[in-house]
Amino acid sequence: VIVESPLDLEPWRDDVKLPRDRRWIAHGNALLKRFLQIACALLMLLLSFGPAAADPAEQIAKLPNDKYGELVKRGYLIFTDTPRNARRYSGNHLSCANCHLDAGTRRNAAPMWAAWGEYPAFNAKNDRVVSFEERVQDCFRFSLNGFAPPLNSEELRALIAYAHWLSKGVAVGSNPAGRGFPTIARTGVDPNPLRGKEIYASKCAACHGLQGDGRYAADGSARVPPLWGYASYNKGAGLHRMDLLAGFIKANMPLGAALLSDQEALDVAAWINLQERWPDPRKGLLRGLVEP
Amino acid sequence: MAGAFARWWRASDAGSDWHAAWSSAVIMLPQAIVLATLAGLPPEAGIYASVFSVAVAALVGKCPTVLSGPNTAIAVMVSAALTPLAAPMSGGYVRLALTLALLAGLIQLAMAALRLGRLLHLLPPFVVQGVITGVGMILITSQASALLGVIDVPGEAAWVSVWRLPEVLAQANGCALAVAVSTLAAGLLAPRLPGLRRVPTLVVALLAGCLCCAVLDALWGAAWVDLERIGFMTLQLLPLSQPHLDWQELYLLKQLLLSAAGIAFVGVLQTLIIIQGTRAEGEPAADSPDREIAAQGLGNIVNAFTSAFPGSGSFNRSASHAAAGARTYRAAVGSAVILFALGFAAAPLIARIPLAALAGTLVLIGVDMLRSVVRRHVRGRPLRAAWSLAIVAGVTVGSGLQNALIVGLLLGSFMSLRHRTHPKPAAPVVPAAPAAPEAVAEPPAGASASALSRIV
Repeated sequence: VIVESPLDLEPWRDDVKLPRDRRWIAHGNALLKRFLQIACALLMLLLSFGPAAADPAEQIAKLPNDKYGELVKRGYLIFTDTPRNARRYSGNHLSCANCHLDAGTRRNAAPMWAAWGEYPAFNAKNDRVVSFEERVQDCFRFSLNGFAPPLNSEELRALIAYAHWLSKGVAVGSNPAGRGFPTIARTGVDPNPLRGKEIYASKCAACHGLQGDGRYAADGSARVPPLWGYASYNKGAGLHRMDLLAGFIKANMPLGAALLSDQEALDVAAWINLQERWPDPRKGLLRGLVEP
Repeated sequence: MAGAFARWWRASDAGSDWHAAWSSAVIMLPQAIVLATLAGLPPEAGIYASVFSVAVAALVGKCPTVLSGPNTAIAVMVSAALTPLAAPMSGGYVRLALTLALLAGLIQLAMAALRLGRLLHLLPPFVVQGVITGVGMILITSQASALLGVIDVPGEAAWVSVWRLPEVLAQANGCALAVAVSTLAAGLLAPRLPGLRRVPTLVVALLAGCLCCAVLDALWGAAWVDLERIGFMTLQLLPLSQPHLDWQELYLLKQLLLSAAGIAFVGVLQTLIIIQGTRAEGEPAADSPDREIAAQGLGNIVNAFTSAFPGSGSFNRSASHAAAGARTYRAAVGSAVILFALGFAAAPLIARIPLAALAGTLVLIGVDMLRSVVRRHVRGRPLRAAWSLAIVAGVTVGSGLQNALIVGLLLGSFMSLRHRTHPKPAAPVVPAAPAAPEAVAEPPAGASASALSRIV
C-alpha cells in the first residue's frame, strides 16, 4: 500500500534529540521557538492542508479516555466498519471508509476535515440547506442503503464527533483544497461502457471481482467493497452519478496507483453504472424499478 | 438440551400451555420493542428483558398466571430516572439501566426477605389506580411528537410535550401522521370487527401501521416518506452484560437507589395486583406472596446480567396469558423461548417498523389504561369518590411516579386517621367494587382488619 506522505500534525514537535553542544540554542531561544510554532501553524492554516495524516488509527489510540475521546473512538470504529458497528442503520456491506479513503482523511476522497467547516450548505438532492448531521443521514439512506439514524442517535453523534476531531485546526468555511471528489473535465468523447468493461476486467476485477461483489474476510466483513449488486450502494447514492464516480476513480483507483486517464475513468464509471443495484429510495417502487 | 426441554414440556399440561405460550409470545414481541423504546433503550434490550428474566421468574415463582417482563409503568420510570443522567440509546444509558435493574432486584429480594408482601396488601387501591391513570396520561402525551414524526426533547416532564404541541404540529411529517392514524384507527376498530376479535389488538394495530408505511414507501419511495425506523437488531443467544458504576460516577448512586426503590415498589405492587386479580373466585389466597416478590427480584437481577432493563409482572399481558389457557408456569417459560425464536426470525421485518407506528401502539396502551380505570373505579360513582385518585394521577403527570407514591401513601394514612377519629363512617371514600375482582384486596387472614384495609 502506498501511503500518501503524511503531513506532520505538529511540525513544531521538538522531541528530536539535539547534539549536546546545540541544546542551549533550543533552551535559550524559547521565544524564537514559540514564534516558529505560531508561524508554522499560520502557514498550515494559510495553505489549508488540514490534518491529512495517512491513517488516524495511531492518534485514535492516543486519545484520552474521557467521554469525548470515547465518542471519537466509537465514531472511528463506525467509520471503518459500518456494517458491524452501526448495524442498526446500515443496510449493505459498505463502510464510510470505502469511499472516504484512509478513514476519511485522504484528499480528493471526500475527507471529513474538509467537509466539516462547509456545512450547513445547500444540498441540491434535498433542495434545501442541510446540516452536517443531515448530510451524514443521506449517506445512510443512499450509499449505505439503510435507514437514516435519528439526529439524536449515538451512532450519528459518534460520527459527528469523529469528523470534528479530524477537522481540528482547519478554518471553518475555508473550502480547503482536496475537498470532495474531483470532477473530470469534458473529454469530448462519450463514455463507452464496453471499453469500460475491458478496463474493469484488466485493472479492477483483481480486487473487486469480475461480478463486482468485492472480497470478504473470513468473519464476513468486506475487505474490498462490493461495487454493485444487493450489497452495494443504491441508485440514489452520489457515486451513482457517472461524473462523480469517474472523478473518484480518476483520483483514487486503482488504490495506490491511480493512473487511469480521464477517458478510461469515464468508461469504467459507465460500465459500473450499468449494473444492477437497489432502486433509488426517493422514487416509488414502480419508478425506482423501471428508471435507471 | 432440546430433548430435555421437550421431555420437560411434555410433562406439563401441554395443550393449553402451548396455546398460551404461543399467543403470549406474539403479544409480547411488539410490546417488548415498544416498551424498550419508551424506556429509551434499544429494541434488543426489550427482547432480552422478555426472555431470560421471564423464564427465571416463572421457574422460581411458579405462579401459573403471572407473566413478567417489560412493563409500561416501569419503562416510564426507567426513562424518567435515566434521561437526566445520559443520552437515551447511548452506551452509558444502557449501562445505567443495567445498574438500575440490579439495584431494583436487590431491593425486591430484601422486601421478600422482610415479608413485606402482606403489608403491601393494605395499600389503598386509589394509589395504584391513580398511578395507572397517570402513566396512561404520560404515555399519551409523551408520544405526541413521535406520532407526528418529530424528535422529542429528552428529559422533559410529561406535560411539556403538550406545551410544545403547536410547535411540533408546524414541523409535522404528514406520512408519520398517516401511519400513526392508521395504527390508532386499527387499534380502536379491531375489537369491534368480528373477524379480528381473536387477534391481539396491538398486533393488528402495529401491522396496520407497517402496512400503511409500506404502501407509502412503494408509492413515493422511502427517502421521500422519511420516517424513522427501528433498524436492524443484533440479537445474541447469550447477551451477557455486567452492571457497574465507575468511581467517578458514585455520586449517581443515591439517585439511582431512589429510582430503584420506586421501581421495585411499583413492580411488587403490580405483581401482587395480578396475583389477586387472576385468582379464581373462592380459591384460597396464596400462602405467601413473598415467593413471587423474590421471583421478581431474581428476574430483575437476571435482567441486569443479560443486557436487559428492569421489569415486573405485567397486568394486561398476564390477563391475556391466563385467558389463553395458561395452566402452569411452563407456559411462561415456553412463551419466553418462542419469543426469542420469533425475534431472530422476524428481525429483517422488525427493522422496517416505523417509529410512528410504535408511538401509535403506545398511545393505544395508554388509552386502554385510562379506560380500564374509568370502567372500574369512576363510572357509576359520585365524582367526589374519585378525588384521591385524581390527585395521585395529577402528581404522577406533574412530578413523577415516586412523588405520586409518596403523596398517595400520605393521603391514605390521612384518610385512615380521619376514619379512626370518626367512629361512625359516613361514606367510604372509595367504595368497594364487587364488579372488579382485581380491585378487591381481601384483608389478609392474619392481619387485624385495619382502617386502611377497610378503605380498600
